[in-house]
Amino acid sequence: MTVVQGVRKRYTRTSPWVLDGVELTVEPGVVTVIVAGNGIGKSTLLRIVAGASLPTSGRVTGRPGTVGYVPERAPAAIRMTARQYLGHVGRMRGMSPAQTRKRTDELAERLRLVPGPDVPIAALSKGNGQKVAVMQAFLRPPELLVVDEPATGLDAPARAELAALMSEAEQDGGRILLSAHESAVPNGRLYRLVDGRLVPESLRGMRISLRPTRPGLSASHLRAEVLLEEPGRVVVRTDDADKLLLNALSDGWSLIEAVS
Amino acid sequence: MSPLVRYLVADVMRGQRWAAPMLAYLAILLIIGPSSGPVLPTYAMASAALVPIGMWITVVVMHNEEPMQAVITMSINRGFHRVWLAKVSTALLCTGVLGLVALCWLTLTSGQFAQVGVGALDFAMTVLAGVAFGTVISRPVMPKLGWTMMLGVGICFAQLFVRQAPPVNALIDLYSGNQPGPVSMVVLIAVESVVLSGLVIGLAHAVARRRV
Repeated sequence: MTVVQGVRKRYTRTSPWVLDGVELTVEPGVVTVIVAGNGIGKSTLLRIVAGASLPTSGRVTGRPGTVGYVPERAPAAIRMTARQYLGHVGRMRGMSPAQTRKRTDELAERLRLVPGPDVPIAALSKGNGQKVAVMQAFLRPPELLVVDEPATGLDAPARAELAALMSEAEQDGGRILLSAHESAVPNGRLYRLVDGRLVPESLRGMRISLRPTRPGLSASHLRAEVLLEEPGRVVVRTDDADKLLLNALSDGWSLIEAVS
Repeated sequence: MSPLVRYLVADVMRGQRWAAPMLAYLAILLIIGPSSGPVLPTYAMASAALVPIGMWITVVVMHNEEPMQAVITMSINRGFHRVWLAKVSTALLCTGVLGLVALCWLTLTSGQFAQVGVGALDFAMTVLAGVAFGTVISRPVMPKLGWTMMLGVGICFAQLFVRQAPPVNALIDLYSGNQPGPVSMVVLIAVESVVLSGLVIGLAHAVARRRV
């Protein structure tokens, strides 16, 4: 297992701590999910776990040899074609050219990379660029997979394929760490990043997404734990979903989704 | 060549940023050489010019990957230390090729093959020093390009004008008189340059690891 011990991070001596004593264990067979809003530090934590950033203090132990990291935003200015780039990634991961070629074609087909892996990455659309970022992480089955907001930038079929790839990695004994925005929490062992520390999140109650249909509606009137409030959308959690929905619908809220 | 260095070299070559320092150095070489007299002062001048060029090439290498691309490279290659050292190696390789070209050209055009060992030592120490100084003025140590240029120019002036500063001022001083200094002095300057470069690279690494 990969263990994060007392990790603290700040970028300059005078800046505030982004992470302030994070303790986390990422185990095989269990998807670990970090939930937080924007700018809280979840991407920083994921990079530290993936080995792409160093903590100011604390340490990460048990990081395996093959780490797959899918960033929230794919690099857009790589001057190589996807095939050339993945060829280098394959060499860096110790794969033979034949293995790399075969796996590149397989992943390009599964993720529906359009117009294919022989086009410069800089010329691809944003979504297809994100697919290349996914492909590099899965080129060799990852022993530790770190995915920063998996839903970002991908179309629905690619998101489904990413979920299938993650499921395969999980079944192969890989450790999986995800970050998710408040509004899109997948199943797994949840932690909330609060004030630079991780707090275990229980799976009690129901998560309900609502949209206001008239002005003047506020999430504070719903009398539930507010997970997210943004223009046109709120996400709350409640132990009594029926009562909350009854009141919310009569007040003028519209239901987007309810997840237990 | 390791797969990581090969990837970094390929990525640098696909950009166009290497062309400017290469053309600048070739222009400098055409001004300095070919040597019509003793070749040792020409070696010294050509190798001294390689310090700012080496700094420039190091900045090109360190800044070549966009930040998110660099993050992925680090995750693939087990962290910051290996990738940072590979980037330093890539800069040494690219600058070293220029130094080798200069050494061969100046030696062949002068026809003075007996001094080629001293010339190689001159170029080796300035390649190392140029790359070492480049590491402190590039990302992640110096993320702003304005400061990179200011500090880079400052280092060049210090190398040129601080008395006996290894390697540039010390080399120029060695060959500025009518009688050039002994070869043992070149070895001493090389040792000083290696120590200085080691300290500078160590400092850059210590600062860089805090900023990734």
